[in-house]
Amino acid sequence: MSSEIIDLDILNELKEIMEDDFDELIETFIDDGQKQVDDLRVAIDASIAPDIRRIAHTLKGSSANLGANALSETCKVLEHDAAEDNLSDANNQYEKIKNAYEAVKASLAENF
Amino acid sequence: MKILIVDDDATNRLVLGAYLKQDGFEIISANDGQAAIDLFQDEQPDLILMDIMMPVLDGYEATKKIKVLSGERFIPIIFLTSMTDEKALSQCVEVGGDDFLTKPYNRTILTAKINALERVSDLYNTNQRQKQEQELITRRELEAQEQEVARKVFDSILSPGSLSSDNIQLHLSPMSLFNGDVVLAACLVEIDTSNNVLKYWNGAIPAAYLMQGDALIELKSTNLPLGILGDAGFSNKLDLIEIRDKDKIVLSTDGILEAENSNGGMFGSERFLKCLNSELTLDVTRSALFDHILQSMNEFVDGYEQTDDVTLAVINCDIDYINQLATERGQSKKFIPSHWSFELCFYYDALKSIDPIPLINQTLVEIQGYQIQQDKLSTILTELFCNSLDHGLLGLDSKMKSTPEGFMQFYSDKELLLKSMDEGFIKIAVKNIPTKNGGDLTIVFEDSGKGFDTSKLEKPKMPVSAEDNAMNFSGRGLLLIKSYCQSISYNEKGNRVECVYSWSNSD
Repeated sequence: MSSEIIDLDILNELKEIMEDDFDELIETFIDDGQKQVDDLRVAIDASIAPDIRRIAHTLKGSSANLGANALSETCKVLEHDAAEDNLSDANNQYEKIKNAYEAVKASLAENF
Repeated sequence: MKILIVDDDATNRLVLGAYLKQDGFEIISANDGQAAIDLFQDEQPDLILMDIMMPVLDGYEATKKIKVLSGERFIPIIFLTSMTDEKALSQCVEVGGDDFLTKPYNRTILTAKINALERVSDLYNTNQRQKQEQELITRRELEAQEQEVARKVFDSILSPGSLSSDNIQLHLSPMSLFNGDVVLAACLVEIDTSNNVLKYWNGAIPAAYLMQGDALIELKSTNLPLGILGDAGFSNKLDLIEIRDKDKIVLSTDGILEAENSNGGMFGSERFLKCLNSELTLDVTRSALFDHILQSMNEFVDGYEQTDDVTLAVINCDIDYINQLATERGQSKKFIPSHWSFELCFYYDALKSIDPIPLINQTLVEIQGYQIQQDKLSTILTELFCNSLDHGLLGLDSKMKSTPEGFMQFYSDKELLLKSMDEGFIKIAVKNIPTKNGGDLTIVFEDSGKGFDTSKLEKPKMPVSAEDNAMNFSGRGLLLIKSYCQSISYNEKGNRVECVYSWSNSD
């Protein structure tokens, strides 16, 4: 059910490899992810396309690494738009990203 | 293998680091381009995984700088990118990136790429190292040759006895025999009394003057010291200057100008010139100038030990005397090859202050005229004497001289050992049997040392490599002596050598 939110196979493999470091990874992702979502809000309010692009890019990468595919996909759309200086749908994309992030966070809390 | 991960995102660093640690790599990480450069210099990683979009300094700029810092080494840089457009990828290549890895990471591809690049960099770095080693060997060989030349100069040319004419006053400091330099400042002067001309070649001797009447003329250096230019760049062009009877030539090494006192002050060219000028005005006897300079310098340094070569020569151009000397030397008195022999023995204390070779050369000339005195004979005598002294009495190992460091060490050891030597002797016997045009000269050197394993001499290694050749040369100069002599043999103990050298009157 949660495979769209997060790929548990990837996470389980990471947990196996990283052992004690895995908790740090989850914590880092949740803390950095929250900060990136917040920074995104600020950048969108200020309409600074390069910042939006950079933040979305980073969040896209880290979420993909953890198997958070839905979050990564929505970030990719926003990054692409920002790269073309198209911010018309930015607020809408932001909501999607924020929701996807919350879902990942909840899923992580539930499973690990 | 040490891998540097550069990414501003902590999650990425953790995930990538975890994968690579599991593959057995050592991981260090940086969170921006500048931190990557700093860490690169401190930690010397073997491979770098580089994110592109980062604050402070992006991956492109960091890569450019790291590639410059890598110099001759090959440190592969793999760009981590989710960008797939051609422009971004071509920029990765332009700044010196070696490969890409697209996010999200596929572990199999990641490991495969790192292993491939590791092989490439091993190959490259090994090749590079071999190239450098080869260059080092070539340079060593060249240095060995130069040292061989330097050794000849030190061992044979700088023999104080050969400068004994009455019109030459000479002060040679011990350091002038060998002070570790393979570059030599030198000034050659020739007094041509038939044309009243002084011919000179000055290569970096700082204080060379002609004192003429009340004028002081500097014999300026227009050449580099010996040993810097190759044969092609060397100029043997002489400078000419008119001389008059009773002119004086003053030659000094920089060791006098730079003679130090205990306060670190230098004697300096000003004090040196003052000595010369005071002589010009006072019109004193010729011996006074020489003593005056040395005395002034000694007063200045006040007993402080000098490390550089302090050498001073004052040559008096007394035309009559020189002409008389030239006639004596040039006289082609007819010497008939005859039967004779002599034997000399020098004990340890005598060896500290006497160089027997000029003495023997002189004796040979007195007996058989200049026909016998050839460069080859002088070389043989010098080599044999050095062997007896260096290896026989002092027990120095000739192998030392095969490296540049050892070469320096050899001469400083020699000086110390010579100073503290308190027993031993070298016996030199020379005998001539006349032949039709000259004679067969039997030369025997015997020392009181332990000798050496002569059996090693009996089996010449075949083929003789350049290295062996050089070793033998620096060893006992035996190849050289062998090529000049009819025969050479050692006693079993190895402390007595006998050579037969044939000389000819017609040479």
